[in-house]
Parts: sequence; structure tokens; C-alpha cells
Amino acid sequence: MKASRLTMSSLAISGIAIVWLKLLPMWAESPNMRAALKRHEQAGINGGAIYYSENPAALEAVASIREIQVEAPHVFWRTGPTENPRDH
Amino acid sequence: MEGSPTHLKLPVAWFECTFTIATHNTQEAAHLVLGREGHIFGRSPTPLNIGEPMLNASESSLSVPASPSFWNEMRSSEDWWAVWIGSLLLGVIVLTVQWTDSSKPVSLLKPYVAKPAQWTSSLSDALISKSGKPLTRGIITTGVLSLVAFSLAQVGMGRNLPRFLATFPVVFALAFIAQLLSEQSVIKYYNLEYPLWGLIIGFLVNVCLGAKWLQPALQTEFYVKTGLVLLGVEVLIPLLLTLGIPGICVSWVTTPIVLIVTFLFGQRVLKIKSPSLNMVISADMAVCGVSAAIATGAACRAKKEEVSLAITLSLVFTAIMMVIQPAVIVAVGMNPVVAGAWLGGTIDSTGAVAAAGEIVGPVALMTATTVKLIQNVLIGAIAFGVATYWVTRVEQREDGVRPNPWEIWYRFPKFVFGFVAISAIFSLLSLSPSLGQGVVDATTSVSKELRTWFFCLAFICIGLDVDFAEIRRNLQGGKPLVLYVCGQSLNLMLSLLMSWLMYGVLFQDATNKLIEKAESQARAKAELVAPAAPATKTPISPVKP
Repeated sequence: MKASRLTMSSLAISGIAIVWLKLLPMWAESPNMRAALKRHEQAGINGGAIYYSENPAALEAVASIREIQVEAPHVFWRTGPTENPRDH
Repeated sequence: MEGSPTHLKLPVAWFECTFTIATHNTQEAAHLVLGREGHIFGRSPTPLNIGEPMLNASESSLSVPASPSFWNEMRSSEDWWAVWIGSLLLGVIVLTVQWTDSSKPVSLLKPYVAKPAQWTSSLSDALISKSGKPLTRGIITTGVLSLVAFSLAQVGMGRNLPRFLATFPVVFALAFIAQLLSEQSVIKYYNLEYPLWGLIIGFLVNVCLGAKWLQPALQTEFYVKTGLVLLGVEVLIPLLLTLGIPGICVSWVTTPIVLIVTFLFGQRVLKIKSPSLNMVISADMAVCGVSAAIATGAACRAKKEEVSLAITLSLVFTAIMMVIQPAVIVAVGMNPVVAGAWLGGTIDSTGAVAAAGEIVGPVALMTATTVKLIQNVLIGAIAFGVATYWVTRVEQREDGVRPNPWEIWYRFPKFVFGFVAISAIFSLLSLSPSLGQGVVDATTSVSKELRTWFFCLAFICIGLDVDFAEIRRNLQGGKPLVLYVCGQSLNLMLSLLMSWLMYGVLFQDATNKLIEKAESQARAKAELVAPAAPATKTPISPVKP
């Protein structure tokens, strides 16, 4: 029983080590993945986020939308063409 | 416990049961009354002790006091302790917020609370922050802080402190490993979040070494509830109005409709035996994936296996949808704002929504992340609604008696009050743009790290304690899968219809503004990175009225 547990533990640790320390880094270095990761980094995307506060892209988006609301306060509240007060 | 004399007496002895609660002042007794022992996202009393008080009460009901001690419950129940510990931690964080020379306030605790950072090739990069500072000290102090906070609660709840002290560091170390795995860049890119690795690591340790020796630290529900109280800081209600009426219609209207219809479909058409499994799947599909599954799972006292199953389903479908949906959008040349709202309203996971939006373009990214953010904020209201519905409508069916208001109060998961109260306080603070928002941001920067650790600890515990027979029972011939697919299909159709109606027909001015803004920002970013690079991948054209 102890021997089989030891074998299973060794297998699990070896498997994790091979995948995370060898295969995934190799994959991350491939040109396509490297470009994709760079795009995510530039856009502030955290692919592993489970809530908006972990995702810088979401906070940037809210800031941008607030700027729109300052420029055109009624744009998200009235249908049809809305006037921009700064135009007058 | 099933079929024991205690349970057979239950329908006729409801008030005696209430008196039992009054006498012993333990939520565990109430828990038994509901017949929900073993629900790890609910309460986890020792079942053998629970049966005794009920028999005593029915034998000597005249001697019991008429009203239970509210204070005793607040001192000993796990729900309240989750509120106390969460509030204490938040109080300490807020008290340490300081205004430095820079305009943004920071909490002095920030360097002492950390989790592993994203890494690509070298594991040691996970211990260095983006700004180049070492994280090892922060991770260790987070462990110590968690140990102290949870130990306090162990004493308060009358649990075995020395055994907890001996086993908690092991569970924390496993949570550290799970986070290390989840922070690998490729894993992150494909949205394989830490709950999945928590489950796998916990399960592997259970298979290889066994988990009985870790039992004192396996307090899944307590970690979840404390994490949810901390999450309250991030549930800022004013954010619900970010996108005005279109945002309200896509998130506030569509999401609850999908949630309710999917739940009713599961109960009435598929006849899923466990309403809590049905609810957790419906919520994580309709609202926002893992975080919604955790919040509703705790609110309706779902079993740990039910939450695991719902999260696994969600992660699998998220991985599929984040590839297929943007491809369809690009292929049909959908308006980027409509596309973004559709992505935000349908893809479960917050991270995957941003990734899918980025494939379509900057406009879709901006709209998608904002719609998902509004859905994220909805989980406060949904958790409260689900908890209320559960204690008033679902649990009453188990004993066939409609509970009175006092019983409803007793059965209500109290940590939800903490979650909602913290959310309300920080929402009010956020209304003050300079002072309040600064405090909220500084608090969130620390509390979100702690919350991540607590949720990760919970998933490690689930993995360590998972019951495969229960998971097989939950599969019920693939009914959860059918529920998810049918619910998501409804979600896809309804969200698309609403997104098109709002952004393609009724609020075209808003759509054009969003396009202009995202375009100009993308251009500025592109110029900053590579002056000659194109700003967007897909052509953007304003909506013609």
C-alpha cells in the first residue's frame, strides 16, 4: 500500500514537473503563443481573472466609458440622437 | 441519518424543533432540522451530536426558553465568524491606508499580502512581482495572517486549535502550489483558473497521501464565506449603471431571466433531483462563472461536489466558447459593440470574456469587459436573492411545512448579510471620487489577494475531501450537461437579441461613441508600442442611423 502510494506520488510530481517546467514553457516560447501573450499583456488582460477587479482591461474600460459620460451625459440614457453639450 | 426516529418525527414536531434551536443556540441544530447535514457549502456540524437535542426538546419542551440567544449564535456560528474575520481583516486594511507623495493612497499592508505572480519559463519568476519586487515575504506573511485570523475563529467556535495550527500550513502550502500552476502564462491564457488546479492538487494529495490527517484544516465553507465577505469590497453597486440603459438591459434583464428560466427548466423539465446543483449550474452559466458558482453555492448550501461539477462544466464550455464565439463574430462581420455585449453577456468567465473580446478588437474588448463587470456586480443581489428564495421556498419543501419569519431568519445564511453590508459600505464610499474611491482602491488591492487565497484554500479542501460517488450521483445520466447546454443556448439567443436591440437599434449614438473612444485609445496604444503598427485587427465602422 505504502509502495503504491509512493509510486503514485512520484508519478504525479514527475507529470506536473514535466508539463509545467518543460512543455508549457516550450509552448509559451512558440511564435504564435508569444505574440498572443504579448497582445494580452498590452491590452491588460488577465486570462485567469475570476472577478473584474483582477482584470486591468475592465478597469480601463470603465475609465474610458466614464470619459464618454462626461462628454455626453445622456448618451447611455436616451435613445435616438443625443446632443453633446460641448458642441454649443 | 435517513430514516432515523428523529427524522420521522420532524413534520409533526416543527415547533419542538424550533425550541431545540432555542435551547441549544446552535445553527447546527437548525441544520439538522432541515436535513442538510453533509452539505459542505452549508454547515458542517458533527451529525451524531445533532440528533440528541431534538429528542430532549420533545421530551421536555416546557423547560426550554421561548427565545433563542442571538448573541450566542453570533459568538459561535461559522457564518457569523466569517463575517467577523472578514470585517476584522477589512478594518485593519482600511486603517492602514495612507496617502503617500503620489496621488493614490496605498495600504501599508500591501507589501505583506501577496500571491504568486504570472510566470512563463522560470518558476522563480512567480516569486517576483511585475515591478521587480520579491514576493516571498508577502506570501509567507499572508500565510501567517490567514493562520492567525482563522485560529481566532477556531477558538471562538470552540474547535480544536492545536490540530488546526498543525494542519493549516499544509493546506496553505497546497494552495500555493495550485496558484503557482495557475499562474503559468499558457495556463492563464486558456483561462484555466486556480479553482481547477486547487481541485486537482487536493485530489492528487488525497489519492497519494490520504487526507484524514488534514481534517482539522478542511473547512471549505468557512474559507468560502470569509472570502465572500472580502469580495463585498469589490461589489460596487454604482458600477451597475456604467453602461446606462443598454447595460441594464443586457445584464440586469437578460441575466436574471436566463437564471430563473434555466433553474425552472432543470426542476420541471429535466427534473434534476438536487435544486442546489440546478441553481449553481444556472448561476455560473447565466452570471459570471466561478465567482457566481461560489457565491450562489454558499447561499443555497450546495454540496462541494455540486459546486465542483458546476465549475468544471463552466470551465470546459468557457474554453470552447472563447474560441468559437469570436470566430463566428469575425466571420459574420458583426458590429463590434453588439459583439462585445454578446460576449460579455454569454461567456462565463471574466478573464475569458476579455480574451475573446481582444480577438474581435478593442471596441469589443471594451464593451465585453464592461458588460461582464456589471454581471460581476450582480452577484451580490443574486446571492441575497438565492439565499432568501432557498430558506423561504426550497427548504420548506423538504419538511412540507411553511417556515415562519423567525425560522427563516434562523435558517438564513448570515454571512450573506456581511457580504451585502460590506458591499453597501464600500459602494457608498466609492461615490466620493477622491477620498472614498481612493480608500476603496487601496483596500481592494489587498483584499482581493486575501480573497484569492481563501477561495483557493476552499478548492484545495474540496479536492482533498471530494466524494466521487456523490459526483457520479450528480451526473444523473448527463442531466447537468443538458441543463448547461440548454441554458447557455437560451443565454446566447437572448443576449444577442438584447445586445442588437440596445446597441444596434435603440442606442446607436452610444454605440458610435464607444467605437470612437476605443478606436482612439487603440490608436494611441499602438503608437506608443510600435508607431507604424495598425491599431485594430478588424475594420470598425460606426453604426449608421
